[in-house]
Amino acid sequence: MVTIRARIAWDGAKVDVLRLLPDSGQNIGAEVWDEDVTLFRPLDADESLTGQVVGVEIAGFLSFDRWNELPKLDVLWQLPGWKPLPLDKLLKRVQKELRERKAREAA
Amino acid sequence: MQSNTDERFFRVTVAPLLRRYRIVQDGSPLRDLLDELGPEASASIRKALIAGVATGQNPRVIARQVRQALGGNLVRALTIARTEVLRAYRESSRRTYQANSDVIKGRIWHSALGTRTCPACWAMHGTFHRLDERLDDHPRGRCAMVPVTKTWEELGFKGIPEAPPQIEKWTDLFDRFPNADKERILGKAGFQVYKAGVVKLEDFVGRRVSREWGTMRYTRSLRDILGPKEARKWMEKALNHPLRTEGAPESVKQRIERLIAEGKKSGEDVANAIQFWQQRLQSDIRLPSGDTAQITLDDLYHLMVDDRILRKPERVLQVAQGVFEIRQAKGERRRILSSWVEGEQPLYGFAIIEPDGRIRTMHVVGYNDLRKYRKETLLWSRSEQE
Repeated sequence: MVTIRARIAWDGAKVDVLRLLPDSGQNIGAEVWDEDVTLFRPLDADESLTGQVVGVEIAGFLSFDRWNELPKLDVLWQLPGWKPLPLDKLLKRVQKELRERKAREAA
Repeated sequence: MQSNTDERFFRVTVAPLLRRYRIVQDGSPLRDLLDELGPEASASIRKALIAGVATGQNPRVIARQVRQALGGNLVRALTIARTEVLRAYRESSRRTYQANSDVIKGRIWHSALGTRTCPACWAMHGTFHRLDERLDDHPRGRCAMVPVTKTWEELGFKGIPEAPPQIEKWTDLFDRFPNADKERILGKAGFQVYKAGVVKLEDFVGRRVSREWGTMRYTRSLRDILGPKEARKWMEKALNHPLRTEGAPESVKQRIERLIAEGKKSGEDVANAIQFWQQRLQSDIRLPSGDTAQITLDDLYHLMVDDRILRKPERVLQVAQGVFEIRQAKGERRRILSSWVEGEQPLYGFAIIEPDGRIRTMHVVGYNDLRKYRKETLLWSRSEQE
């Protein structure tokens, strides 16, 4: 199974848009999955989407719970210092940390 | 009567000390600090501090007076006012004790012992110090001194019952505090380490020496006390998850700047996008529906996540001006669906307008993608207007 080295971009609970983006810096374009989830795929020279999904954007991430409705992707995602994980497992773990962070900041 | 006596005490004892030792004296560290603000600001702050101490004003009142000279920085104003006023009071008290050293032999460090008291000051509470030692509290410290008189026997009177000052041991009070308060004082990890008996509160006391300011107590970090490995172990235990520095979320701006620094993204594309923003996007953007939206420079970094926008930033304006539908998204947000033509090719995009009118999500997508938003309530449609 392919592993995508990625990073999380998140600008705080007020904006609350989580982006899991490839660390390669390759050019990516968007594809709508549903009203909360947008996927990213590499762009070719004509700006057409090509290849597999390499990034995900979720609006309202802290309250997102439709894990079963995420696309079933045949790839693993690896953040620096983490072991490779399937998309839902990685995002659940990130969500737990960000919720704790929000609670700490509120306290 | 009492207030007259107090006022005279301040005027006669404290104010001259403040003037002589801290404020007016050229080359004193505080004077150097204030002079960096310019001669007028420095003079106005010195005047406010001296007048405030001489009349026994609360440091908050003094801080309000010096705030303007500090460019409106109330926190800095309060730090200077509190620190220097208390330093002057303490120093005048200490010199009074020294002047009466025939009956006073030392002083005891007395802390506020509350949840806002730092671990170092908790541990210093009740410690005995000679009269030639200054109370070297940290900035904004609230600790005070309790004089210790010589015993009757030391004064040459025998057979008189002694009455030493009754200072409650901090350990007795600290042990009575609920765990939540102990955590607030020591921090989560600090409390765990203390509870396990790995460190004593006294271990948190550090002492810095500055050539300008003299000595100062501070709270040592766990890393300093235990070493980095052991401190990390306790932090992870207290937080109940591994500490990560790598892989931690970054802001979209940090991400783009990092990718440019690592040579993975073109700095030129980003510079062009910023230039376009400066020329065309800084002011309010008017939508065909009559609504307005705003994109700040920080917001632009969100939009640059999509390379079809980063490489052609003019599309931001095309998405905004090509709106054909507005739909109700979650959380009082509105989603605009847009179309425009480049050359002969129709293009489509969407953006989310936050409740405050800001746009931080925008993508160029395919026509079929926009159909996936049909479940959202339609708020405005261009076709209905035509």
